[in-house]
Amino acid sequence: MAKTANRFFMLLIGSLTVLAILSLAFVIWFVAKEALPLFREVSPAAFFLGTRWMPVDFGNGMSFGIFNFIMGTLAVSLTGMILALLVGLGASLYLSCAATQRVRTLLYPVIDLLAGIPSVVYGFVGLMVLKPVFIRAGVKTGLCVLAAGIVLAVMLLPYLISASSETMLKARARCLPPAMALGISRWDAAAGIVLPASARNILMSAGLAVGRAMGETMAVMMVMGNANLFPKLLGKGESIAALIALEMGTAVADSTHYHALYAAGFALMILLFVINLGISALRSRLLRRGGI
Amino acid sequence: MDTALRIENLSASYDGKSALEGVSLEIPKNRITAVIGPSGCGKSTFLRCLNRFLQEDPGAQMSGSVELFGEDTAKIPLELLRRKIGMVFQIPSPFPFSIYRNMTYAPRYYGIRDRKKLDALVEEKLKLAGLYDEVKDDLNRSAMKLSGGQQQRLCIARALTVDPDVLLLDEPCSALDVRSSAVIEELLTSLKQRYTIVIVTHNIPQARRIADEAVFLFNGRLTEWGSAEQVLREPTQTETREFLSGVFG
Repeated sequence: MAKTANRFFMLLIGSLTVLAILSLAFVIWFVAKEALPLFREVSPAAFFLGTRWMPVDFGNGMSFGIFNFIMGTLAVSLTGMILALLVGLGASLYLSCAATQRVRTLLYPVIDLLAGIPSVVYGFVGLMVLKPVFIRAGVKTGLCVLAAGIVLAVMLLPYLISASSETMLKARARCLPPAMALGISRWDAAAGIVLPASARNILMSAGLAVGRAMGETMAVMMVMGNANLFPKLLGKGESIAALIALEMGTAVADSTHYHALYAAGFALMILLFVINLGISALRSRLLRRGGI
Repeated sequence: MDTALRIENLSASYDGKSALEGVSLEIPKNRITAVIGPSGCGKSTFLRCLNRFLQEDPGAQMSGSVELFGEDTAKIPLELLRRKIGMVFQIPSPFPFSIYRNMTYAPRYYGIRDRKKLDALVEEKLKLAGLYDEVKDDLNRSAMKLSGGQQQRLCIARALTVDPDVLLLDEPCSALDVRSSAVIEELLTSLKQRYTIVIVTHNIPQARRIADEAVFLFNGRLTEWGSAEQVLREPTQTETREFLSGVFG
């Protein structure tokens, strides 16, 4: 009886796993299938490296170059990640190495709450708070890559903080007592031992956060300005996710425009894949050196 | 016989709950002193008072005095005190870096930057800890890849890198197998020529094998102390006798 039940359970687990993999494969296949027809009309070089995006012919012909969108995506993600890492690592170090248990139990729910706020709310706050600040600072419309990066950073913070402070707590429990028994100060041990000891897991959470950053649509779209320009920190830019969200509704099914948007989505997937590959290579290098 | 540590009326408590009461004793230089007693009797608390490690626990309080070679430890700057009194913990806890970096972290922190000096220091202390021959070919290997016993010897070697006078060990063998424990016991016996050693142990046969002096704590109070020979073989107090014969533990 137990044997049959076991077998049934194994079968159930197995088929659920297969289902998960299949649905992922289906998404990739579907996006690829819808993207490929584009390359019958536009060369890959013109698509990936072109800077003119004119999906409707107004007399000068159509063109589909997403170079600026790729750069926009990378720029806003990078800005967001750097800001989030700076603040997030500081906060994690404080939570793991300095805060008392009482403070931790008070702060963790607040941080988790940040993760539950819908992105449109973040975008709205960005519009209402950041935009006026940037206008006063001299940015013409107040919408720029930096503003979007800041909004993105706030959105990434809860993920980074909860993942890395957990790792750091473990590293601290292991490494802080022997370090302090050697007379090393708490802060030197935190920065010199706990932080590097947690590097591998911080990288992993950063990898997950990058995925979220690059795919984030709404909040970024609301404060980045959405213009097909090469991104500058205080200039407008547009991300691939924003491009798809803005134009998919108006693209005629099976038109070149429609296929081009799918191809842009496919490019985003490849970009993410490459970045995650890089991060995991970095992680395994750290792993060989030994970490927690 | 010189006295390394003179402990006078030492008491400690956690969040107002007493853990150690009025302990007074002397720990002789270049000897191994074993601190024994049933679980929760204050052995580890006692050890942590000696290098003022107890104060890292926010709820903990200590009173009384501890003198290191005649100097009140409360008046020694904490950093210096920790250098003079090293500590090794129950669970082997190397930093997750290379063996070399484990050994040089503290010396570098105290300002030794010269590569040759550091190399010599690493070799000397690893030899003292009996680990050098096992790891000399690859000092850049991660310390986490060593066996438990090797990790603990690395921790002992690491504690020696700041040239302490006294070495405190808190049940250093309780996470190790018999063979690794035997290696560490041998190591401690050889180290006592240069260092004063205080070891908390649960393992009575181990105390009998290596200790010169023994301290028996019971319910946070000092029941008996003196030469290991006397305390461990012919105890005068009932509690000690019962503990040693295994009535409680």
